[in-house]
Amino acid sequence: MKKNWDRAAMRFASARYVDRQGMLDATFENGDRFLVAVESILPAASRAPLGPSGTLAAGGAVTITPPEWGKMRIGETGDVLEVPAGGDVIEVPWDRIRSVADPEFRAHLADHAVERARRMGGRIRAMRLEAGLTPAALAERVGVPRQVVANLEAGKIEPRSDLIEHVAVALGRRLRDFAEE
Amino acid sequence: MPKILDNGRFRVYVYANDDNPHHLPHCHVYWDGHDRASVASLPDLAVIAGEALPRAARRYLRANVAVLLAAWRRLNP
Repeated sequence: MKKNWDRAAMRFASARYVDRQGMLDATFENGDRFLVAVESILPAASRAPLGPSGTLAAGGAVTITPPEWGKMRIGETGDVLEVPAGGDVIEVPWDRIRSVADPEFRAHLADHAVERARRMGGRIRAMRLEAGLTPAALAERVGVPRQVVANLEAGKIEPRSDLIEHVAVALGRRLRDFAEE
Repeated sequence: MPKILDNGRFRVYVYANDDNPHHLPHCHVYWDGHDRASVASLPDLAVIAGEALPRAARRYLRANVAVLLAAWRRLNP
């Protein structure tokens, strides 16, 4: 049965750092519990190898303060973890943790991505026809091979945001035209 | 806090470090305090998780979708 990704699946019931293992132990309000290695959910900059003082081990004009996991707390929305790091706070939203630790959520994202590609492709095709352009003409305006436009319209490409922006410009559209009513 | 939009009724967040295996740009929308929430992909505004977006929220997001997508690209390079 497909899972219901409701508010209880987003909100944390508890979250604690298991210092000995370097793991985050997070439980959601719907009862799902995950143990996650903390380095897998941090921003790339915070994952850099650190020397004993917390400075970058090599090449380092940049100083990175390690996150203080012991001071982690659940943010006011209930679905984001806040971890102090120097004067900053690293925010880890619920879906970041599930996209790393929860295969059901990853499968859900995959389904969403496929459906999104299909719908965006249909919309792009309709806009292209409205603009009176051939696929080749649109490809030329976007600066991509014709096959990319064909795949895009067929929903075979999960379009990244920069490609969507280029297509919007080429079609004389605004990004809001890609939003569902 | 990466709050991008707030019209008094709906609050919209785009988080850094929130990418996923499909690189789906998305935003988090809250209303009725923090009791109700949606996560919607950008710029299509299809709901990934949470409740269906109220019509007023959808209008608000749609009007600002370029701002939200720009924030996503800045925060999740």
